[in-house]
Amino acid sequence: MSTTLPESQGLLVLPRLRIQNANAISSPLTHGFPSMTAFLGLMWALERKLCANGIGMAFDSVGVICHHFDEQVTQGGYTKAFRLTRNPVDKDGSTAAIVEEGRIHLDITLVFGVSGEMILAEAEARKALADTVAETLAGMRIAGGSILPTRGANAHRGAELIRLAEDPTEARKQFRLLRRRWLPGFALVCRDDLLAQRLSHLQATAPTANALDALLDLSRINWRPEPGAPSDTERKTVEWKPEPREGWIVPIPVGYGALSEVHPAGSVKNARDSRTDFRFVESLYSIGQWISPHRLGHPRELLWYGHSDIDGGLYRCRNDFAATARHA
Amino acid sequence: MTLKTASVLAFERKLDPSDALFFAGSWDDRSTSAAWPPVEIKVKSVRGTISNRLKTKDQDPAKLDAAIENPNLQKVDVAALPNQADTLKVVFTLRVLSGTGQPSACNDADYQKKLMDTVSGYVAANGFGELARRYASNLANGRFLWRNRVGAETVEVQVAHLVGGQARNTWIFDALAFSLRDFAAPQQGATALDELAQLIGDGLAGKGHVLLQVSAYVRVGAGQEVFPSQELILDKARSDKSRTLYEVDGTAGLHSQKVGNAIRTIDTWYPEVDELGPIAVEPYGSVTTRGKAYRQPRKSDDFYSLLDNWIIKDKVPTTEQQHFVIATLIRGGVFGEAG
Amino acid sequence: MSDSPQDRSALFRAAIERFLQERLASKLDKLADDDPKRSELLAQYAPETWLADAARRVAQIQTVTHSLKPIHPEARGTNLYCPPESLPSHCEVGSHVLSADFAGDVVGNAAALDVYKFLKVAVEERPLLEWMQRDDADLLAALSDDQERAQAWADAFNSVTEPASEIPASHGLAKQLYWLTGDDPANDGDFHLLAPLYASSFAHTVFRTINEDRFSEPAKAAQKARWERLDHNGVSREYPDLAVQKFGGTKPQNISQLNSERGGSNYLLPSLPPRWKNREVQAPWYVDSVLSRFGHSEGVWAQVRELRDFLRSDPPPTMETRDRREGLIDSLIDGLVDFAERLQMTLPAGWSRDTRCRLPEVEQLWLDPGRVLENADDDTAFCDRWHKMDWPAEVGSRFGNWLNKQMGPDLPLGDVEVRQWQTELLLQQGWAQRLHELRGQLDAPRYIPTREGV
Repeated sequence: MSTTLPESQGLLVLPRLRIQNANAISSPLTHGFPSMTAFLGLMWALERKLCANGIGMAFDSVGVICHHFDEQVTQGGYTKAFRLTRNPVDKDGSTAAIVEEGRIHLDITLVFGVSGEMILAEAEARKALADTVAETLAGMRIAGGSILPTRGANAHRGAELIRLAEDPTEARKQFRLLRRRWLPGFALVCRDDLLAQRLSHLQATAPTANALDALLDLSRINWRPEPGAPSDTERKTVEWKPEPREGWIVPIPVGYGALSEVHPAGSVKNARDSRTDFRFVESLYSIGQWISPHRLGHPRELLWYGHSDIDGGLYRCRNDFAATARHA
Repeated sequence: MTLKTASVLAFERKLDPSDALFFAGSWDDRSTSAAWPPVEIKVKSVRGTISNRLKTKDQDPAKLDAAIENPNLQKVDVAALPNQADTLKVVFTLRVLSGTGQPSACNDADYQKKLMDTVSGYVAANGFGELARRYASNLANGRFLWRNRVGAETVEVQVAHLVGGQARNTWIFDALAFSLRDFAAPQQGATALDELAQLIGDGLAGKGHVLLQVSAYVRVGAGQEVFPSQELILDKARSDKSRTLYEVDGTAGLHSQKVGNAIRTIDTWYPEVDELGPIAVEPYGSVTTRGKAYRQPRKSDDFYSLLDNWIIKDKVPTTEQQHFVIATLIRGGVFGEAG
Repeated sequence: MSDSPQDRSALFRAAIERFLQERLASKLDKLADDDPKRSELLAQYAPETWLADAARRVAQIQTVTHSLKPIHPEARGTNLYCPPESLPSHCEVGSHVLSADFAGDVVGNAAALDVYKFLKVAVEERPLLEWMQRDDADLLAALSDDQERAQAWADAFNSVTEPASEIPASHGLAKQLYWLTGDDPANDGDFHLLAPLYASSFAHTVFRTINEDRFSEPAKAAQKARWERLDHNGVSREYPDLAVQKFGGTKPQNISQLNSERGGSNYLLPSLPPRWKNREVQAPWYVDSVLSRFGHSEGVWAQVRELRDFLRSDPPPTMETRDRREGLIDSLIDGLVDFAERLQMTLPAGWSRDTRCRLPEVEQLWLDPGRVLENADDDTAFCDRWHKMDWPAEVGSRFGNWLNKQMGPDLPLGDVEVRQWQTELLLQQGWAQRLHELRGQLDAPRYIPTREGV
């Protein structure tokens, strides 16, 4: 697997999926939107499922646009708590241990970068294929949540398999019309660059600052009094201003880092299967940004892909927004 | 080689309901219910009275008087129909998925093969007819309404089979004509129930993934209180309310788990059934509201004992208990032996 | 280390004895003077006896940095001790960034926690465990006069960082996910099974930092100054939308030692998308066009300036220039559609009939399609004009004029109006149909999309 986005010939768009009770706790450090690792996992599972049904289409990458969310948390107060549903009772009649599972309802558009011969098929065949994918996906879970049926005249009206134009001018026009349909909404892109930038900024004054300090610094609002406040004896009020932010940036989980060597298949007790190599890992974090789709210049700015560096112990979701967007 | 239960064994649920949402309108306007407004949750202040058992140290009469004179003002969520609406509409969708017996995780190939062979054997002998009929009954009888069914004048349940976003077929049931104690159908609902059961059975058997939209119209009377799910907030300090009800974007509703629990309330094969009637399919036959489990390992009629006997020891359970085991697989969960 | 071995050894011995004396004293305090248990306790806390017992009980606990129970309280399996420097370095944030003074955690039998406290007793500023790991001869001498026994105990204590079983184990309730390491998801062999553990030491650092920013004296002083709007030499740090997850319910100690110290709380930072507020956007009352408001909405002004600056730079008449110019205009029109959609979806149908609305009819037709869907008997003229579809071109022309005005007299953009405005305004893409659904379907989201503070 490469460290750059795989080239795709087509885009498979599943617009405005309504997802109920998805997992709101995306990692031990973050909440409020499922992890991109969940969307990559969904993509791989979907390709396997389609393949088992005789549909050979390669899924290269996935992008997500969020149109609406409703996180099930308490209102008011400095910190939020999750609103839970009750657990069933145990065999002795006592309440079973509660595992806090934060829930969130989402309206999202999923965009997959895809390759394969069927992308060259006629419009009608592509439409039928897109419908099949939508139908297959409907029976799956997205980040633990269930997909609600789209109501209205034609449930799958939206699912589309698009052949990407090769001519750059055509491609630009084509993408522009596409991203329009994703309004209003916000696309998640990766901003590793902002984390690195903040880290060097912090280290300029605090040499021991680390990447976690930078992450936390970007995750909070730092209020400071306006400089140049009058220093005369008369008591005067001063404006406190939040540090300006570059867009809507958020901490996100971006993959996993190894904690152990790779344990050969079958050597770990109670592994999910005995045919797959096994590794203990922890979540890794970076910075993401929510941007309006009309700020996207090219599909590659939206799409995320998996990258594994087994020797380096790194399993990452990557996105090339920062490298390709013109304002980076 | 002796067969052992897989240490990691998990199944996804095959009946996947959505949350059920509440709307309000007039009984006579059911045909235009798409335009009904949602039932909203309101916050009400109530005076808590001293009714809990006092701790010994609080039994000082002076303190008790003080406590009674200063009842704490509590805030609770409430939901009710507006004064001009006499009918509650409860809507949810139910996805019926195939692949019963196919684990989502299993780390023992031999066990998995035996398990799947066993389930195939059950399906070949029984089909999903009995289970599907019971699930269908729990849609027709409006059990999923929970407390909202109690005291209703009339309850009409409409079940639509959605294909491509359109209703291919719609069945209408007079829910109160169906009993909650058994699964016998009243005469005028028998055909519709058979057809619905057939469809659910087909969905489970994998002849095509089935999507149902269920709408229940509950005539309870104008302005009456209705009952959405209550939410559990572990850290009470995080909420200023003593009762929080479930809402989705301002619409009151029932949690999907609650709906699912009602639909799988089909277990009449446990010892105390004469007393209690059907209970929800749970590995230990546990009933949350009673704080009790009705299928105990010591009697070997819990799911794990039955399954192990069936798969590992080739001790085939009675047909009734087979129904229970398969229904538990349809329920889904993590059932591995790891401990 | 100028001390002689004897002196250092004595130092260790004294520290160990002090630890035991303190624990003994607290136990004895709870007993009556004539309680027969007193002599039992005295015997138990004789150093040789206690150490022998502790070296046995240490097997019941494990010091860890990564634990399983927070993933699921009933999961049993491997916990790991991975100090930061032992982990591969990454650009991403994880336990590897922690400094050497990270907080270690303990899992296992809570009754054996005293052994852990013993191993944390500091001598020469380092915990006993570290001296044991370094095979410190003076410490060994302090443990017991019998060299072999001392070594056996030290070995036992050293094993506290090792998992209880040599065979790694996960659990059915643990998280285990498939990660594609190869190229083909259809091929079983192309995956790794990844089992995430909870990074407890890392979480502790996060917990301490956030609490420091919330509750420390300097933090409180800064908050106070901010609320009172006083000058202050410091920063006030706020964590909006911080969530708290609970581990272990009423018994956080059952999860781990650090979890207990955190009161079972785990902080979660928000990845939430920008907030859509459930309130009405302001209707554009008393203005004769919404375009000026559009010009002031988020990011639009910067785009307008970018376009103007680009045109002013007199770029060569190349394909690239044309694409760039088109791209910038496209982006502005996208922004316009986004802006309009918010009004269309937010304001109640028929809002433009309000007397406060001074917009020309063409903008009303564009921004209040709800009137058409209502199709009221007394509003047929409006509906007819909407369906005639002359207005999209007029909206385009108004937009073109507005944009030209922003560009200034020297930079005419004559071609903006020539666009297919029906297409530009998404009228051929089931847009009106979608709006109809959104309004007509009661189960559609009833949120009102306004963007807050982006």
